[in-house]
Amino acid sequence: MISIMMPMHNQPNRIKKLLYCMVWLVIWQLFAMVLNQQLLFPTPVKVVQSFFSLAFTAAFWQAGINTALHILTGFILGFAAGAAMAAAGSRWKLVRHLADPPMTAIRAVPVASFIILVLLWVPSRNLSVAISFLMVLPVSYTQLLQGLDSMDPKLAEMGDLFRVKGFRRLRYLTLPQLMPWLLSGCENAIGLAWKSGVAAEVIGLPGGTIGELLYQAKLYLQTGELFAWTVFIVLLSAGFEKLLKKALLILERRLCR
Amino acid sequence: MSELSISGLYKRLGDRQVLSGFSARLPMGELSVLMGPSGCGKTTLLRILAKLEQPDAGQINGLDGLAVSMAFQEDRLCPCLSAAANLDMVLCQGRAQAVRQLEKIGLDAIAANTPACQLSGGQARRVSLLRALLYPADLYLLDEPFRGLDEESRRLCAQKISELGFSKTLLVVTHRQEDAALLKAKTVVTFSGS
Repeated sequence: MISIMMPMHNQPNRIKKLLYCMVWLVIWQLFAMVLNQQLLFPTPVKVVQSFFSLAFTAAFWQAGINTALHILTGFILGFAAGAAMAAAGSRWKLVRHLADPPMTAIRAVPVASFIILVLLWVPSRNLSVAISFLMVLPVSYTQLLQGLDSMDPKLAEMGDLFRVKGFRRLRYLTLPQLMPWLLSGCENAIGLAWKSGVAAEVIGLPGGTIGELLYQAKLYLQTGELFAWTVFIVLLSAGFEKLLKKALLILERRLCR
Repeated sequence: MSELSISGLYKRLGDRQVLSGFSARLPMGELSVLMGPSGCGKTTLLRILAKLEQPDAGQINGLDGLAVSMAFQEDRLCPCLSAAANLDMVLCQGRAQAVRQLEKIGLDAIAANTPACQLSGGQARRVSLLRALLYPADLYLLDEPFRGLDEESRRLCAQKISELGFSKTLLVVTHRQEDAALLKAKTVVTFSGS
């Protein structure tokens, strides 16, 4: 039996990661203490206090749910549209040529410009849906198109010969080969959806959302709360990213049985 | 139609003339072996018979309406799917039936549930061959079916191929004299591309 031992320095474990984070938290604490300007730069302890005082209010969770629902709706719609366009683009060159300019434009235009523009056409309560949709669309389109392009033509030929069609083709031939691209596409897109969606809320100020409450915290110079909301956004984004990744890994395992 | 008649088949791949007026008559309902050195166009001929390639010129009579199955020169298994899933994808008879079929060619339940990319060369070849042999077809094209198999597996697979040869039309391509002998084919066509 051959066993391969990985050297310790190649195993970035959780404790090490946690230690590195602690180092930065200590630096932050020391810096804030030296600065001694709680109004402009609160200590991590103050942020944690603000976070927990917010977490015990109904508005906090309501805003979290509202924002999450809007952003996830945009993400799902954007990813589905990107997948449909990638499927069409991989089949028909014309679709690919037609889709390229708008996808490049969406990537190139700053999110803030899009938010202001879309705000002219869409009510502010749906702004984060539209913006997450727009930001996710090119990511999922590009990733899935690359995945479809890199599928093994010999396996496709085998599928044609044995008449593997419809759902069986999707289940056995397409999805297992597409999974790495699907995974990385989702991973990139979900983070982007959260960042752009919250930015849209901060500019559009729809009622009862994280964006609105974040803006209010800035307006009233409640810097501790401002940081606490930011922590909440990061936690939500990371949590959804982890959940999605886990779901996709389960799907991958089921597909590859 | 009692025979598959190939006449004056031409095929060029890139700069190379692979087939130059190849002609042959293959009896239907039995096993034929096509022999020839590597690179003489045997695989191209099989691909034309499987309708995966179009000939530049020539005629094939008796092929219309035939359902074709093929064991490719490469195994062409989906690498992340298990051996049983690879079989089930094509046969649609359920995973349990696929495992039973795999057992008959010497792959136990563990191997049957192993991803194709982790199978040995011989195991993958057997799965690929079994997939082609179990697929319901009228014409079976087997390209180097014994490549990478040990003696025992060779005998087992030859037996499977011969069993099918009693009722179906099989065309086996090989460059080894021993393989032709193992299959006890009545018709052996020596192939040179023309």
